[in-house]
Amino acid sequence: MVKSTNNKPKGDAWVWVTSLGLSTGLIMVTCILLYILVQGVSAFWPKNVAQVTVKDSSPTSINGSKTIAGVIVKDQIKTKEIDNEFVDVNELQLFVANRDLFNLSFIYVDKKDIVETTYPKNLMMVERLTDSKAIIIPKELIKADGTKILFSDASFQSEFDSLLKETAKLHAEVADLEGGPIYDVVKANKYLVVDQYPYSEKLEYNNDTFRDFEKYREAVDALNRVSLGFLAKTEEEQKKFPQSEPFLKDLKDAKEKLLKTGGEAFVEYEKIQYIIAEGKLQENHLVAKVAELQKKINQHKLTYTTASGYESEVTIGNILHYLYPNRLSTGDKFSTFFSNVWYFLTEKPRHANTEGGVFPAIVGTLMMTILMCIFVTPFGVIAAIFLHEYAKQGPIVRVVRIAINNLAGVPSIVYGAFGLAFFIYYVGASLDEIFFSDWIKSGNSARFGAGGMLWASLTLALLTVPVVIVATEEALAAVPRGIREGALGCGASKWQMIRTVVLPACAPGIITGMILAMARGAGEVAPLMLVGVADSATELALDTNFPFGLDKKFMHLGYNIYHVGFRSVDSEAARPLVFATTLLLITIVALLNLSGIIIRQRLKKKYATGAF
Amino acid sequence: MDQPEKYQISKWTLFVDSFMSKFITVGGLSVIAAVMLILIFIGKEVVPLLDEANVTHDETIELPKVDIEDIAIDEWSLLPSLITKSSIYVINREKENAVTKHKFKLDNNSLITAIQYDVEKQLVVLGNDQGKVSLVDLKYYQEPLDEYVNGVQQSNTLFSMKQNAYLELSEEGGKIVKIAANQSDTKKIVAAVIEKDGKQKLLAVTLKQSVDLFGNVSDDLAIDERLDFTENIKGKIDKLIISSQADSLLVSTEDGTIYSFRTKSGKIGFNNSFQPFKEEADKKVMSMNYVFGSSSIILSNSSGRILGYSLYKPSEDMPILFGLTKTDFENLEGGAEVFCHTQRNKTFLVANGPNVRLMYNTSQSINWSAKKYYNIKHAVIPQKYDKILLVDDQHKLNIYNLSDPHPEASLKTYFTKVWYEGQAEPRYLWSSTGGTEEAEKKLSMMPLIFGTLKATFYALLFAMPVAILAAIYTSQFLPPSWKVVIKPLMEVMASLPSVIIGFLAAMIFAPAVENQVPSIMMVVLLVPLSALLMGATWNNLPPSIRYKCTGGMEFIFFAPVMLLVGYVAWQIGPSVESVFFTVIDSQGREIASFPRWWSEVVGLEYTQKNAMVVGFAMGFAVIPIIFTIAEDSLSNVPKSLTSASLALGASRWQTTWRVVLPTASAGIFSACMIGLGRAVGETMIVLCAAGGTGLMEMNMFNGMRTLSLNLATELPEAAKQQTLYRTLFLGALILFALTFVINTVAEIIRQHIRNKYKTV
Repeated sequence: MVKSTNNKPKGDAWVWVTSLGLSTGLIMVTCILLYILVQGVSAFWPKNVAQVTVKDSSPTSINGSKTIAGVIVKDQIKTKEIDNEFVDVNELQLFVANRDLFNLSFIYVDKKDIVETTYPKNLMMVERLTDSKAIIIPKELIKADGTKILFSDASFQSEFDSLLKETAKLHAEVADLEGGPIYDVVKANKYLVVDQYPYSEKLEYNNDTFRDFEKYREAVDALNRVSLGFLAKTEEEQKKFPQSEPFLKDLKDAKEKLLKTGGEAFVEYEKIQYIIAEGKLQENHLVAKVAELQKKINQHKLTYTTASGYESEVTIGNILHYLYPNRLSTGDKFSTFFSNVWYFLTEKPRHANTEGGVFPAIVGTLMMTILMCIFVTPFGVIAAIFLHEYAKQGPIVRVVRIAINNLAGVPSIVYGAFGLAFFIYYVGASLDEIFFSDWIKSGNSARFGAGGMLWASLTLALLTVPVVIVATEEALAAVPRGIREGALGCGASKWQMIRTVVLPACAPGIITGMILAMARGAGEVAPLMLVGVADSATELALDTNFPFGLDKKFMHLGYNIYHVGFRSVDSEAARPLVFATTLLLITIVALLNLSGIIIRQRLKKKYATGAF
Repeated sequence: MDQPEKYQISKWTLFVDSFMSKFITVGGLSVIAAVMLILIFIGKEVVPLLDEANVTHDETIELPKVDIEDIAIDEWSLLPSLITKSSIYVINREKENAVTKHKFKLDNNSLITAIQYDVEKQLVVLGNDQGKVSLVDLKYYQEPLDEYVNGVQQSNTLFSMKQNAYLELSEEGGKIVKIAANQSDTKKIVAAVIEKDGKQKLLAVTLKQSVDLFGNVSDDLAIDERLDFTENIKGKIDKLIISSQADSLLVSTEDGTIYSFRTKSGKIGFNNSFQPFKEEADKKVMSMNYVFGSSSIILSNSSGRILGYSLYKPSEDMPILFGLTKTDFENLEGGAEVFCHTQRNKTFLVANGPNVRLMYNTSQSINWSAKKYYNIKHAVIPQKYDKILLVDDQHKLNIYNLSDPHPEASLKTYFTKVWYEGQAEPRYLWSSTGGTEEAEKKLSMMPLIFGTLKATFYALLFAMPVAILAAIYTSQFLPPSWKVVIKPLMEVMASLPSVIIGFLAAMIFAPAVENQVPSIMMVVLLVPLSALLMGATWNNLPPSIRYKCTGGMEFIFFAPVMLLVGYVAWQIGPSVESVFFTVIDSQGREIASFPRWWSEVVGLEYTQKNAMVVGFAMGFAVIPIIFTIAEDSLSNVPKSLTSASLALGASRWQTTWRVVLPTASAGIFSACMIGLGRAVGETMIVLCAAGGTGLMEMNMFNGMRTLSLNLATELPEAAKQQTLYRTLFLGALILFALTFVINTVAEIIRQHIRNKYKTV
């Protein structure tokens, strides 16, 4: 072989230029994924809390104190104007927590001003139920009976833990009551008022009855206020509520007249009124029970100081989790990390979504995606089978195919606008008018005439139906002609051929399309903002009663990122949570996508050989 | 020929087959129809915008034969009231048009010689022949009755009036010939033209609640301040109007000059004068009236020309003046003899003889026009903007139902420059919430379309080269075993939810690069340069080294070089900044700051959330799309072509450049079109990172407002089927059409190519 310096391939320099494109793309995708991974994971990693003492001359202080405790989040160099000169300042950003005391979450400290940085073991990081995080130095535990246990006492730790365990039990009891019987009673009464509405309408808008009816209702309201005297039917019972006497007389008068003029409607109305009053009585009992429990929960207190000298206290019931960040060994840190992940995945959000977990958002996202999938798959597949197997191939079908392909490129926000106008304002409002008119007239908000799970998933189904159609058609086209002809040759009818040969063969393709649709749907946020996403929902998107929560607004991981990241009061302090949510969403979407891509490639290989 | 039974197809099979055929045909067609429905439905939401006002006859009422000065109306249009120089005749439409007469109080046998009614404030002002004035407050109210009809509580509509005592406008007496008054929450003002001894005077008084001897504030009015404007005016005064804020006064004279008086630092004084019909044969101003909000006036002369003047500041250091802003009103034969403005929007009614029209001030368009069989003498539109009341010369009152839900909407307001009140020039503006009810809605689509195209432009500027180069490299040079890994990796980028990209761009990237623009410039400049240099150098290295990197592994060698060069370029950015981008600050120091240099030396706005950030962020969404489709079309170039080229001795680059690229160019073009379509409709990234101000500047360092951003932020709050709601749907329709056309073009090209290479 002759080696010559002249046999340089022409233009190979340009190959390097084209490699620039690929390198840029790959660096972009790796960087963003790594960044999210690092930030997302580190959100759960327990960090040490530094206690920084700065020089007296430093401008940084919290309420005059020069000692500041906080988590170091950033170490940056910033150009600042000091005494008419521009100086590069190396500063630390500290997350100081205790927003309720300091009115800020972050503070910047000039590194030059730092006299001392320590990591005291007595600093405690507390997650509170009703407030943001706190970094405290515990002082003493004050129990309900007045006994005080100093932090330095040996029994402090065990006592504190047992009190926490006790309140956690009480919290669970409260949650059981509020989520169980109280919720049921309130809900039942809400529906009873709706059932009552047709009768009250008849009585209210009637020239003969409306005056007495108004009096009757006023008396009932008044009686309900005095220990539910309304339910006292016998005179003996009534005597127990002496303050209700004037109202009882009014009630009796009005009732007598109404029985004559109102007739059947009033009898029915009153029947329901009794059930409502009984429900209310039950509710009051339960609420009183809850109040008692709450009192018990809040009876023990922990007094504390902050590193900067503030003195304050927190009830034990308000403490959810606590830890001594500077005492953790590596093993402890790992276990804390995993328990943090667990809390994040299973807890409800607190403090305007900036604390706690994202469980409702996970449920909402999954529910919506699954519902969307249920809507989109059959319709997409039927449309694809029609286009590929039944429709006469010609210019019209070609145009339809192009149009469907293009619909995949129509901006999602346009689908959102359509969903709002068509599903909510048109279909939903009509549904409300037909099926829920009493519900709305009796003072409740719109059900299907407002954004909700059903409309959101239908809108997304519409958005993703082109994806399914295109993927299914591709799979149908990949089924070799020979197989079809073989089936027909064996005497199968067209539908038998499709059902027994074609559909099984292209099942992986259909599943790919479905997964791709799910991935697209799970990551879409813009249309949801118009058709049913909620900033925060107290109830889960799932419901056991009809219509199974379909009319409810729901939380969504993607929207949560936008809402907490941009709209919340203390979005910077909530940023770790946003990154964690981001990581979770990306994981879900990437898993869906990757499985789609893998199935697609397997499918291609399978039929690459099958074509012969 | 009958087949034996065992060869016959079972009935069930036939039935299922035909049923499924029908089911799938119907199902498939309906799914396709449902998807197509989107376009139709969005169109349906938009179409009513362009409807004219709908006016239908309601009732004609015979009026008492009195000399009508004006007609008053309540907000429910139930008590039309005729104002004459002595009384008010209230007609009750609910009680078979019964007429009740309410007489004005007179002052010592004097005669009322001038009268004016303001429908907005329900205020009548009287002037008599002794130079005295009296304000009359009309009050229409509803009293609920204890009566229900079909579940609706009934009510009575009632009228009452409260006449204040006569006040001396002129201390010397004289006959009031013209009068005007208005009031706001804090001010009351009456102005009048008084004739005495053949001389004309223009006097005005501001009024306050009178305080009696004991210091009690009474309901009665007293004169606060007396003003005399006679000296400011040359010529005989013809017309006189006062703004609804009671802070300015307009006077027209017989020779067609208009004098404007305005409150400046708490005192009313002369502001400016102008002659609207200077260039025309007929100079006299025939009608002069305020439009709702009193920021614009409509003028007409007897030859029918209608002009609009608005208040605006010609430049920053000048006072607010009335200037000619509207010249495109269609002429009304004979001029606006009858005029009435609405209290909802900038619509006004003009009529002359039998011709009547509803016009919208902002867009200068005609919402409704008709020719009646009678001559119109007076007109009034109630507060609800749901009726038109016309009084004819035969003492008849004609009541019409008016339905005009979208007076603001017209193609002109959406797509042409409009001279809004208070603006120094005609502009394209979007500002759907005006703050007050009286503010004009600014609904131009142009800034939104422009913003959309701007975001798309910067996105493609970054994404197109990267994606196409990557596609060329991947399809032509990368070893197939690598391609299996690399392609899905790039496609993972497409599956990143855009809300995440938007969040990172706005919260992490934008603040990080805010003060690092020179560094970015260096990276953009030096990295491609390094690729070229590296290629050239590598090619000239001895083969022993050169052969270490063959078979398309260049990118692995290049990636570290690229990172290194990128890092160096980033680091030298500040030095570049201190050489090229310095400004002198107020203390005479030289500061190296690109943002300040950009705003102070170049004179353009610099914001943190800008087009550069959006362009880069959108790259994450657009690059994978362009990459995938372009790579497909490059890979699909028939092997026979490339093999032939290589066999003839062409190098791999020559084959790529001369054979593959020309063949696949249409496919690459269509890939770019689809990327463009995606960029046009992207919502979350722009919502997070574009700022959202609707400016029409191509400036790379400020934000934009796109159609999609606008939809996402305003549609949830827009009231159902109101003008804003429908206008937002117009935006959605434009977005839909834009992406649909772009994608169709791309798709047709793709199909064309596919067919072409079927034969090769």
